[in-house]
Amino acid sequence: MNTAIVGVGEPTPSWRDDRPTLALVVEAVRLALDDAGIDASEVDGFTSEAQTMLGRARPDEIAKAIGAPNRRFSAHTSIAGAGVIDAIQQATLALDAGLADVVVSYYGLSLSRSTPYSIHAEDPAKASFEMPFGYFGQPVYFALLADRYRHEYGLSETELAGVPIAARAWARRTDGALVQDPLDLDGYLASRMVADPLRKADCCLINDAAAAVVLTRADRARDTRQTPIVVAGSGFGTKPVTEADYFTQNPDFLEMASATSGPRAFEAAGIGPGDVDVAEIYDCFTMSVILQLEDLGLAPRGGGAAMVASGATAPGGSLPVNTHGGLLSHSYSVGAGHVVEAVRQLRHERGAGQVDGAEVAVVTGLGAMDHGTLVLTVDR
Amino acid sequence: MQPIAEFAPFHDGIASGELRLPRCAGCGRFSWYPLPGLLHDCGGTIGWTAVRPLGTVYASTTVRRPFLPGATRDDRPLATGLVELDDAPGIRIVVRFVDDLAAQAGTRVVGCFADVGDHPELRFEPDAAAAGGGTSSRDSS
Repeated sequence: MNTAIVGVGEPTPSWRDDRPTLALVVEAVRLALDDAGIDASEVDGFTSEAQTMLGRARPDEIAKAIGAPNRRFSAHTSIAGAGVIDAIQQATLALDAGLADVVVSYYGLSLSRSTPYSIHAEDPAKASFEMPFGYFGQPVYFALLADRYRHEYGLSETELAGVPIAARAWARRTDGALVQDPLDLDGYLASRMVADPLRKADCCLINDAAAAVVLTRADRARDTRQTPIVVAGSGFGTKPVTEADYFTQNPDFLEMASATSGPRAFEAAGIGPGDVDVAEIYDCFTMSVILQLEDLGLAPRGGGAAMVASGATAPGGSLPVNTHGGLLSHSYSVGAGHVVEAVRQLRHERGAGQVDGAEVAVVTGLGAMDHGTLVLTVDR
Repeated sequence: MQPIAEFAPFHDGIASGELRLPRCAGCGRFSWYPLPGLLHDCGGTIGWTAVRPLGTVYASTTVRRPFLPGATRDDRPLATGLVELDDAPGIRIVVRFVDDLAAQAGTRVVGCFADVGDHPELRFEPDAAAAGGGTSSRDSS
């Protein structure tokens, strides 16, 4: 073990939290430090996603709020879920290089006071070449991915339904998950169509949430309150397109940058997809889960939809996925909650949602053309 | 947000009844989307050229819950998609379909310019001239 996650913090998500995003993040950081049994004065590094966190929750503000006067490392990277995962890679690099001893990696958002769509409306290329033709909003982007997948491989409503039905089953085993009503195929088919073939049930939640993790090196990790969870490998990948044109010009339309970040993370960890016990996959939409499972080698190319339809990713299945309910049923934390959940699974503290004997977890984060994959293991 | 000046040739083309796209004078490849202030990746200069609005649907959807700024939940569904143009290999353009009837992936389509309100807009529909020209359906699922 070189570096490990020794503390996780995730305030209970809510549909609306009137506090500033910074306050949500600070609560998450305090929870994570308390979980680790590490005093805030020991924290000397901060990492986060770059696109939004430098505006909403800066490290200087967090350091002041928690009482961490010795901040000597900051790194802010990439976009959305890719940034959440890559921020953890940055933390491990800083720890390995001796640039910091205790690093907090964090994310938070308050979508009750904004919309997920507005950031795209500010892009002049989207305003010129997409919006005049009705192509706008992330559900529309992922609907076209689903439609193309249907054209190339076939995709039925029943297959798409496999993802949200599994997510809901996991959410019902998780305290704090925002949506816990039962969901079966009939319920899925009754869900309102948003952009063919995607229904409301295929789209992530819109809420307020934050999460943080604490990382340190092996020597310090073994002297903390919790069982350390090892960052065995991490990988970052990109596509040869910009954020503006990613969703329309991606040359391999049905392949995300997980096709490169995944193998990089597995290689760094010295394991393969077949070793994974639990997978926390960035599920902004059902379609993104299917594509990433294929990119990571967890499902055959063109076989991801059939795999989720088989129940393999649901409780009791051969590859449990998004075991807290994910972005679809737990909360939209842009993947920060996925990291927390993976750690809790490997600590074997998930109660009704525990995957028996889980020792290896993979966590992914997507942000347009960027992608991050993390492999976490128990200390072995 | 208003379109920026570097993208004006695209909109001017539609206003004139032409589909104009940016093409590299050096290597001949299309450069889509054109980033302001940059040369093509081969180092060549970008110019704008008219192409036939003729191609094949790559993917399409009918949007039933509107997301566009100013849209309301009472708006009728709209149909949008991606088309690969015969004259512009290597890129895909975003299109809206005539009467908001989405043409399925693989369908041969043709664009037409029609006045919507006080200005011309480009819409695509199945190409009647294409043999076995595919299908058009509001309920493509």
